Amino acid sequence: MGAMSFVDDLGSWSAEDLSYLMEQRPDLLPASDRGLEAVARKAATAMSLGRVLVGADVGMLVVAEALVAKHPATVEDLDVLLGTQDRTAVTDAVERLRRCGVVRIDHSGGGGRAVIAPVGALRDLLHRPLGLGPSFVELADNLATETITSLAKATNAEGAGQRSPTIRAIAHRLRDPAVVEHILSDAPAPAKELLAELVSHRSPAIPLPTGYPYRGLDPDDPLAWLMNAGLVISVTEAGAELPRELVIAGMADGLAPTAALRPIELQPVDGLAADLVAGAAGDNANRMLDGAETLLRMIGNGEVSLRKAGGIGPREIKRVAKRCGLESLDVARIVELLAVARLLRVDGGVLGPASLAARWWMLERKRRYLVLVRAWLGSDRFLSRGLLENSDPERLVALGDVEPVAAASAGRAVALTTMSQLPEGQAYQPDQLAAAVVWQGPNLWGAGDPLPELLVEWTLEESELLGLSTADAPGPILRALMASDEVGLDGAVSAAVADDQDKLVLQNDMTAVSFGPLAPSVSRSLADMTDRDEVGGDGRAPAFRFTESSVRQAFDRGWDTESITGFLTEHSLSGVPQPLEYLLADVARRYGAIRVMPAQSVIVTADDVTAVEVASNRKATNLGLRLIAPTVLTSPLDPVTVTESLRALGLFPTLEGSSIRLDGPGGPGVDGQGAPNSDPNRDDAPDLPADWTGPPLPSGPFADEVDAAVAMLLEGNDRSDNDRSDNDGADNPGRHQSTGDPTGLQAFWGRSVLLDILIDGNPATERGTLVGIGDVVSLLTVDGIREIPAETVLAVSDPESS
Amino acid sequence: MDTTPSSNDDGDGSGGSGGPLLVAGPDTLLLQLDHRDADACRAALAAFAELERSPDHVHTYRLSDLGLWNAKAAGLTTLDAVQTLERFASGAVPHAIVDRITEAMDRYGRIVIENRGDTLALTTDTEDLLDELLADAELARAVGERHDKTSVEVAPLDRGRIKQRLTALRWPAEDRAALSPGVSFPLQLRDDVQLRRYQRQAVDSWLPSGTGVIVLPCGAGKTITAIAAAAAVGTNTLILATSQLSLAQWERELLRFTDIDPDNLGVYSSRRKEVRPITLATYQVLATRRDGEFRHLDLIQNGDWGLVIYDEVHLLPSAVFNLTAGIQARRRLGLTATLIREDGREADVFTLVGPKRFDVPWSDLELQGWIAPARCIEVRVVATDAERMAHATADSRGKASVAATVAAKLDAVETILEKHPDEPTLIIGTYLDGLRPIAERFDLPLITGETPSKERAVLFDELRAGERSRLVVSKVANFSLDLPEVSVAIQVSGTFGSRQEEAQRLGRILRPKHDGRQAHFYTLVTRDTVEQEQSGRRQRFLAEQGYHYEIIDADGLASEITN
Repeated sequence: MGAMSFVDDLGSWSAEDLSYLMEQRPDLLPASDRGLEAVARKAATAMSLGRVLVGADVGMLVVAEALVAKHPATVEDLDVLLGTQDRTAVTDAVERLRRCGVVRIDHSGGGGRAVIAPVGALRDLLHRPLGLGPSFVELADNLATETITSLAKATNAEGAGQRSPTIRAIAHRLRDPAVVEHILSDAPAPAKELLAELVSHRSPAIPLPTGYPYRGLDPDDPLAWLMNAGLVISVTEAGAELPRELVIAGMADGLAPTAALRPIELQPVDGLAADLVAGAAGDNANRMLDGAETLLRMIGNGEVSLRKAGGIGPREIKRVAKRCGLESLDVARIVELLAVARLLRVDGGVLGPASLAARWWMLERKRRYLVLVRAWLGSDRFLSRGLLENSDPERLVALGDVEPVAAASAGRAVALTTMSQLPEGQAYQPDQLAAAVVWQGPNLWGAGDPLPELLVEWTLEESELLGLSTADAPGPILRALMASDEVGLDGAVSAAVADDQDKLVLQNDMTAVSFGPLAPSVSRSLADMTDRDEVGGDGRAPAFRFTESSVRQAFDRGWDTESITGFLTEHSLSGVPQPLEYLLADVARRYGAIRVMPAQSVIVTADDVTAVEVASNRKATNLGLRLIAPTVLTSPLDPVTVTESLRALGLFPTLEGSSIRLDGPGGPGVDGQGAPNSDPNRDDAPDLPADWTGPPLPSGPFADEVDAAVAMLLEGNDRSDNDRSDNDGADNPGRHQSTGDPTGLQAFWGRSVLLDILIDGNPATERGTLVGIGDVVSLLTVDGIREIPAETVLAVSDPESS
Repeated sequence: MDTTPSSNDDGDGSGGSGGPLLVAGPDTLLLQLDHRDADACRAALAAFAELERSPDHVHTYRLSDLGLWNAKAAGLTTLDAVQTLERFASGAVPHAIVDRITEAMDRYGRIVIENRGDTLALTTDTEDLLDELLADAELARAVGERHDKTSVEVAPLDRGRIKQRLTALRWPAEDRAALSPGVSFPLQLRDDVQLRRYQRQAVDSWLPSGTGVIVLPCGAGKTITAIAAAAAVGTNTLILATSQLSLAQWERELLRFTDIDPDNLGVYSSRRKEVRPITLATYQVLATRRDGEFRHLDLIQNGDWGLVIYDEVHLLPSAVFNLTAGIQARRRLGLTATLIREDGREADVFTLVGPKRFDVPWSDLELQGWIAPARCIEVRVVATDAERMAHATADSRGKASVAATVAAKLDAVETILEKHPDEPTLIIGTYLDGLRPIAERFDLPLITGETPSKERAVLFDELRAGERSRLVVSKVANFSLDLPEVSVAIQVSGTFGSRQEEAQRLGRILRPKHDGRQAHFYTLVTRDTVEQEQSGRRQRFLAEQGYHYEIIDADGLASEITN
């Protein structure tokens, strides 16, 4: 049947049929704007037909093969050939083939009988249809001309003396059992018996003895007779074939069917009430989405790392699972799902969100859910492959190097479509579903693919994870999805996937609970200032806990008491509990009590005057000096540079530290490295490190501190002058003569000291750590805290220097 | 705040979608208190779910095996539990939680221990189940001969041990074997004693089985309830309690509430070995061993007790568990305010003493006026620099001691006492170094573990009688101390991590006051010390128990406390 005939046929199709054709064969769509003829031409090509056959069910394939084996044919012919005795099933299969444009039906023949013929190159695609051997036409190349001539004569085939027409005529004639019987009329009985046996066994290849038939040929051999007659045709030195026309002609009762023409009748299992299915599926959908959002956030925060070998390793999965309250297996699957949805990227061995993730976050929550589901449906990657195959949870790897499964998307679709047609609350046994899936698309499974049973198992597991089914029973989302019912889908997803919430309940046990998933912006903010709490179970009611460390973390991230309170007030249904307000204030009070700042050098001065003098020296600006305590300065520059620079200012610093030597200007510095010329007055004075951004302290308060220190210094100068005159300038450098003013002890605060004191008018010495300065001086001694009236302190000194 | 979904307009409170209950996981339920059906839901849930946290807006209930078995033991069916969820859930009830309930509840009742002739038999409902049980080597060793396909012999003395093993295997046994009647001893409540409704319900819930635990909050009258149970049984009774002081309290209550002749009331202690129809003993005495043997084993095993009462059953020592395993043929009544055991042996209480028979949330009792409303205030005091340094340089035990004894706590105590000048007040602490200065400064008696029992009793009696309004007490006052009119407790130091301690100390002041005044529970916490770190746990505990608490700084104490 030529393509033009198919065009005529297509011209009579209804719009509905044409739509169906295009849905089933989307490769025809590009040709559609060039008219029916172009569509027909394209549809008749082997490539296009091949695509159809990949998705065809067993019934279609069997009938298509039967038609290739014997065509044109009526439904009755096919039924006889297949031995099915089920014309309805054959008719149904023919109809499915017709609607897919694989066969055409010609009603123009006599007697009102519909004659079916394959379209285009179908015959080229189905070799050995129904397991039968090649056709006589295909085998005839292996026959000598005299054999063909002899056979033409025996079959009364007309070929106008030309080889090809003669061969086609012989092939046609061989289908007639009477013709075959006529050829065999003078055959020896063993030859007849052998042929009958070969026909009944439909042997695809008949082994030949070594060297046969041309050496040591026994003319009485039945096989030799059949070969000489051209009924068995050698194709190699070792084997021969039986033309399938002979098999068809010889099998009066048709073939014993090897595959069912009808879909497997699945036995649904009564399971759950429909609302239970819907409810549980909704729970799963929310849990999955919640998990996906949590994981994506963690990945965005750099909290999930890849192994050197690639993928997320078992230990990391376990850690992440614990952190976000999911099972390890689900974490692995959800990460795979995020990857399938292209929301992840791996860049330089680092896992992060892809640019698409930002857009995903901007969608409504139910849209975010659908993006993941649709990505899964269309993916050739099974989330579970490499996960379920490995039964040891300790060896789970996500994003590992796993081969895609060619049949994944189509096979998944078949399984889900089959499931979605179940009555509410019912389910199929997985093994039955697998059998049905195989029947509906046996060609989907590639040779290297996992077994269909396994893929069905994965599909069911993943479908449940995504909230499409519960205990293998389809949920409302799956039904709408597989029926392409967009309105129904929107309704089902809206009912199942909770809307983003932007309100919380704040409780006095420091928890925040949301009755539904939180809007991403609210959730992100909460994640900044809370820990995830276990109250909320599996994610339907996310709960968060405020702790000292979580609030401190919020401060680290730029929040302050006011902004946190503002945020909570805006989103809380229950106000801000007093204990939480207190916690915020308390952490704020302590936040920054210990400050860490970068410094390479620490400059300790003998007294606070020297420190302020150095800090306020305009020429020392390039040293980046910070006065962090009355006698302590820091610099981001290395100690050698700082020492050199201070010397250049006319000061006399000493350099402490075992690994650092200072050999004088221009000499070797640290570990023999040349010290830079570090005169801060010169243009080539060392610059601050390029990444130096200053200490993480607000500049205002620091400047205030310096101002205050300078003011204090100016005020104290007068006093110090007096003190110095009193002491004759004979101070030991490591010794501070008390003036009765306790603040004079400040330089020794927190250090080990020797105190010269008066006890009952007699001098004494106390050793300990100076821990309190005021009217009473507190000394931490081996016996505990010793409190000494400040007026009795004569002098304080460093025990080392004393 | 109203979190009631507006869509729930069916008006009959029969819920379905829009109910107050959110099923948040296979064993987690969240109840929104602001929902109009919250009270009904809470009452229904209490039968089978454990109230785990009860902060101000959302209560968390947990489904546990023990809770579900307790429910089944009390006559609740799986269907009842599932219907409760369906009635009150805010959406569809997930299959997983139905499975969870069904699976657990179906386990209870399939194994029964019952009398068979002169001995006992463990019977299962199927042969397969018995085969499965006997595959456990420990259980197989403990039971006797197999009677038939579904039953096996149980030696009476092994009854407790076998029940423990079955519970460990998640196959709890329903113990229907007859209990020993004991020696009859009629005991009558005095005519003027009227049990409160919930106390009567508690007795009625326990009586049919004669075993199990009654859970009542501190101050709800556990002692009178137990005495009523003993009166209902009318048999020789052994009462086990935590301390001598507690025994004295039992003795006093028995004499006060019943017609018992004092000669029929005995105390069995290291000094007094009185075995009478009603005998009181401490756990410590029972647990005393010499040469590896329990010295007073005879008291519990050979006395023909018709009832053994375990006061503060959550404190039952391990040794007494072992003894209890051997007296499974006697009626047993456990009393507690909380089934939580710090050692996690709740299953042993379930198995050996019996299932929970009655429980009533304290908030219900507070609403009914049976428990005084309490205000919990945490006061943050500031340590001096010297104290801070001492704290910083101390080891972990030393830190707690330093934090507990900072001088500023004395000032805070003074301010609080000034705020409550006429109210009976207990100043409670763990560190004597911190308590002595308080006692000295305010000229108050200090009761410690070393204070003779007689002296303690006198002081407590004086407080009860209103002759004295303030006492300083160490942790000896944590348990079993009935001081009904005390309305102010100042906790100056404590373990601050122990849920029991917190509950018990708070419980001291929860008895309803004759004038209906509010109770105040102050806790002094030294800022920036280990106490502050630990206080988070107690705050969480209080909040989760449903108590409101607030935190104020000591320097604002005077202005912020209002009676």
